Amino acid sequence: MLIECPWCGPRDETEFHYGGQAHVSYPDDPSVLTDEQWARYLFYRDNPQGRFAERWCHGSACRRWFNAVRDTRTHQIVATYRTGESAPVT
Amino acid sequence: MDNEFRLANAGRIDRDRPIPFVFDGTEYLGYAGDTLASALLANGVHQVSRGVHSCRPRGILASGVTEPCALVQVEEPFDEPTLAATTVEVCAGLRARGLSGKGALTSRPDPARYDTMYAHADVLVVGGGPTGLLAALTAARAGARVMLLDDQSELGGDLLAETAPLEGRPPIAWVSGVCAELAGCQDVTVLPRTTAFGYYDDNYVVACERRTDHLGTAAPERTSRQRMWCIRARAVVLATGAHERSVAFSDNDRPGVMLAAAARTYLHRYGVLPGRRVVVFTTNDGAYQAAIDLAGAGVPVTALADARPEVPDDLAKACAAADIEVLAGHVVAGTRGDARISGACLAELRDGRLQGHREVDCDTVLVSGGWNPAVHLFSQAGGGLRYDSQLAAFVPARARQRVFVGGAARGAVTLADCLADGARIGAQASRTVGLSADAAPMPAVLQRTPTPSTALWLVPDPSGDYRRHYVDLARDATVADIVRATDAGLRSVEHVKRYTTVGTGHEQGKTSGVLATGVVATILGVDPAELGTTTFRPPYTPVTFAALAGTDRGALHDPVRVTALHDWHVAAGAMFENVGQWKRPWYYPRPGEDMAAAVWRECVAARRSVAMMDASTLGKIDVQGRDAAEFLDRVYTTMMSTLRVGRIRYGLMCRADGMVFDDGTVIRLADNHFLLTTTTGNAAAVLDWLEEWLQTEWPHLRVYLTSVTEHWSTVALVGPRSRTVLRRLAGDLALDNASFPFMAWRDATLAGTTARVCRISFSGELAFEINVPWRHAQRIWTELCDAGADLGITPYGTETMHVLRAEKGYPIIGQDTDGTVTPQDLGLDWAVSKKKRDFIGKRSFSRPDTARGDRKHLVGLLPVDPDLLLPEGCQLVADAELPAPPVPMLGHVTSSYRSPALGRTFALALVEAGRHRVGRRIHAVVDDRPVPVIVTDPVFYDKEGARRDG
Amino acid sequence: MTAEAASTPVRRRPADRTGSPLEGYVDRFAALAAATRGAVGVTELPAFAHLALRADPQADVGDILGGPLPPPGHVIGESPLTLGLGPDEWLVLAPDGTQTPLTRALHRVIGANGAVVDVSGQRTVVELSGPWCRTVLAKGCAIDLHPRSFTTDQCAQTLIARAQVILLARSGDPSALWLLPRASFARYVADWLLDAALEYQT
Repeated sequence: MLIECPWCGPRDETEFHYGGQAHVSYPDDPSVLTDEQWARYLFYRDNPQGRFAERWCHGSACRRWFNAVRDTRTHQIVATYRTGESAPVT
Repeated sequence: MDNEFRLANAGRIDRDRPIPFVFDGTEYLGYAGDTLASALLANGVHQVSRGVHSCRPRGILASGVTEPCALVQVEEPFDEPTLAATTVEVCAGLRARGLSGKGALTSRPDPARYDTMYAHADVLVVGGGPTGLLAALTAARAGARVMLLDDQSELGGDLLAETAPLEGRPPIAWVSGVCAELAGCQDVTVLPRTTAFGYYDDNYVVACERRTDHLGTAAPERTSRQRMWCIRARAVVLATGAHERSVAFSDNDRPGVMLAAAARTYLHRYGVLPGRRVVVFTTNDGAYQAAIDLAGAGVPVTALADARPEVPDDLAKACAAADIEVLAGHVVAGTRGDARISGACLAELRDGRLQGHREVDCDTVLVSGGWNPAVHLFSQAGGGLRYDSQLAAFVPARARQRVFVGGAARGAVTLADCLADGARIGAQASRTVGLSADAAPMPAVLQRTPTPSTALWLVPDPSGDYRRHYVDLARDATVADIVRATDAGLRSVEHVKRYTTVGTGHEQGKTSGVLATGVVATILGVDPAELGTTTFRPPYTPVTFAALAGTDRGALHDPVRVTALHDWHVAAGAMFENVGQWKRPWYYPRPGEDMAAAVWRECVAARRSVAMMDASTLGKIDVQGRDAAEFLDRVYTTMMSTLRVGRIRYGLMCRADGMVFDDGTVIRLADNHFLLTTTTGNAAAVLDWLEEWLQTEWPHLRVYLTSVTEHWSTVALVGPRSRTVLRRLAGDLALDNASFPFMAWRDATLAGTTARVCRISFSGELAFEINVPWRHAQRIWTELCDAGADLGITPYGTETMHVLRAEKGYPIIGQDTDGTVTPQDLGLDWAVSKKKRDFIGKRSFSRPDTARGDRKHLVGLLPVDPDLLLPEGCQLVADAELPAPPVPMLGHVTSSYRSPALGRTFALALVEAGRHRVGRRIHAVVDDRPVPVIVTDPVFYDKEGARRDG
Repeated sequence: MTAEAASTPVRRRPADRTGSPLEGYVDRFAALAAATRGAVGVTELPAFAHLALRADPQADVGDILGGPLPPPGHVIGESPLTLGLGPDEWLVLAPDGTQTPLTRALHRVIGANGAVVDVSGQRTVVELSGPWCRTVLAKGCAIDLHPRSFTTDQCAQTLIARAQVILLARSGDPSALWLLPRASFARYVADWLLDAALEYQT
């Protein structure tokens, strides 16, 4: 794959590593969560067939984490966007 | 007689460059430009091998990468198994033998070099036939960066075997003109002998260039034998041509059965006659020209059986002129002969039945069952296919990437259509990359409207015996095998493939895949469109592992990371240990010492006098910023914000699931400035981890992380006399315990070098870690060696470090832990803050599973036999007698050493409810035998911690 | 930093390689240049001051660095030379010995909104030269090294074979490239380059 780093431009996938589902926020106060709620945060992730917002890190270059919307059926990366931005409507 | 089937003048071979070669122990003569197959045919050798299961004689069916059965083992100049004779160029020193199915890997090392080249193109053209040449020319003229790949030794594709004039000249003259123009273009790369074998996401095409195979023993030593091209193209043109396929008829596997186009290639490109008396069997127009050309070369063509009920007029007339009898609505029903065909049985096919059988004598049957566009790369690129009933073939439909398919690869039949396609898609591809392009003008060529083919896959057999109707010659799979599959209820061609092995040979079904679909369709009475094809996966052609490895072999297999002191260690005779990519000194044996003796000596030096170790591989991260302390409080289990400037604290990091991830020290350089160390193997992972939290969860924190792992070289100076040695270099730096206490750091000038000295101990002894920039490491190391010489200062390696730390019960993260271990399991509760509201992992400590009382704990083990060294990783069980399986496991040994300090062996282990078993006897399974061990506290040495102050 | 230090050209200093990561490769590099007749040159340059700079991209460092902070992938200046590595990250190369004054000067401007770290030992600078040097590099580098795509005053962080490097095209010598491997990887990178250049020996 060719992945468009928001800072370095398109680069080979070998320069990146994967960080799982994007937009799974660390809870504000984990201590108030039930075991079930905490387990959901720790262990449960979506696994859609189709478009999926993921975290990637450009580890071999700028070391920036960013998000990508990838189609899990075709590996096509529909969009990449910076951390903190919401997923583009695609 | 040498080359008795070779024509005097025809062909592209160089008759001035004869090349002797050996096949099956006999010497033959070939010429530069020959393949092994063409040279064998020229010498009358038709049988190359035998069927892998049937052991039936097998000849040469095809002329290129589609060859299913003429397999050889090349023995010289490079050992290589399972190559098709049609793809091996005759070269100096070539020696090969026929192979039935499977070759043998050599045990000889391959002396050749292999390498990789990354390339970028605006327009990548795959295939250098008429379509590809015109596409490349169009793109080149538009100013594109063009790459043109072709798998043959020279460009031209089918034009190399074409005689009809192009622009009034022999086609090869036109090819030469285009090649000359391309060669003159800047930014155009033309690679012959280069097979694009993989088409991946985002127009990433991987190709293998055979750079010196054709030179044989004359290949230059420094040039790579094969080169892997990794090409990123903005647009791709696929002009990959089409593969002729056979028809399943009885005994269609005998040597002498050959694809019609292959015969034409042997005739025109290599000047070789495939036989002396020919029968042709076709379902389409394509085979006619082969028959006419062979007749023109003086080979009697006994009959041409065309399965179509009506024959095109113009072709019928041309055959009549060449004295070829054309039999419309006829098929070849079978062949006879021993090692080679001696005759064929012709019959009329009417309403699906054969009638009017007729025997003819011949030594060659040319067959054409139609053409499969070479859609492999297109399909790998995610492109969809559709069935074209006019062609009786699957053709490209929807593309998913920026790829343009033209010529025979999209089903074009005539040369005129192929050329038109090339010009058109060359311009299209150029335009999609932002260039204004005009299609290169079409060369003048004979126009002819082809007649549709008929979809004949299988010649029916009146007896119903289909055991010799071969579908896949590489796998010896027959129509009978397919019938067995469909009788078993299989409908999907993917399932039939796996049941029968059709299409799983070295050429991955290039001649058999679509034929199998057609046979299944015939048997089930459905349209091939309903069945589709099996999946086309890379590689398109076999690729050697050596080519895939490229230069990642031997010393360059994986980066070897070394410290600034590496040369000193080598000179000192160190044995090295791999820690991740690092080479670390393991121990420094003196003459006559084995490892145990060397480690024993090093341990004694560290405990009784002074020793030193290169600790430079520890990961080091500089942390600065207004919120640095707050950040560290969140990522360490330990409280870091209360650390005073000038002091050092041990820290543990957990994952959010509460499992220990890494440990190290944190030194506070200033209010907003820290330096962390990580374990050697985890340095990059820790930095990534910290950046992930900082960037994705806490972007509002002002914290800046910088790796300084290599900037600082670190020497651990250890032992009761370490202070004495340091004092000799440290000038007026106060080293007494009050001025420079344990877990403090000082900047100092040591022997003229600026250094940061930390009082950290990973051995329990008085110790200093001395940090200097990389370039000063050698100097400070040798200064310390000199300063401690009279005290017997001893360099030690990682093994001694392990013994010393294990005697103190200090775990190594990643050795004594495995990602399922909490700080509490390790007995490190003291390093887990109770005061902090939250930190990564905290919430997980109260999860029911993490709070269990019977979790595995890190404990010490003392074998009852004090000389027994437990193997690391060995399992622990309760009783001396092993019960019947499954045996309940209590845990395993994580570290095990001989301790000079204890005068015996000892171990660390993770043991279920281990802390509750202290003092009890359990058993370690050594060589399948339970041996008794006593569970102990993990701290074996200096429990009071009295030695760290010297 | 002093005006004198800032104006010292980064290249014209005595070649002190004592303790440098590729100290032991001088002869091998010289042999390569001779054997390829200059088609491929590999040299380890004498030590520089390397400073990792983290700051607001708008930070007013023009007086110190000779221009505004460059965006990722771009380079400004000569001495010091500033490489844009990320949205808020730069590497400043300056004459060895100027670490302390340069750090102080940068600190004064960025204050608490950034960091300056002396990383002079973290990487070494390898210069590649000669008409074949980009081809040699392309054997292990996936980014487009065509002179039109990777040109003067551009930099990139990427992989060469299996090692992470910073790559830099300098003004002045259009064919030459600078390669900054981490010190512990320097020998691997040097060995790889020597191997990749083998076929250009005559």
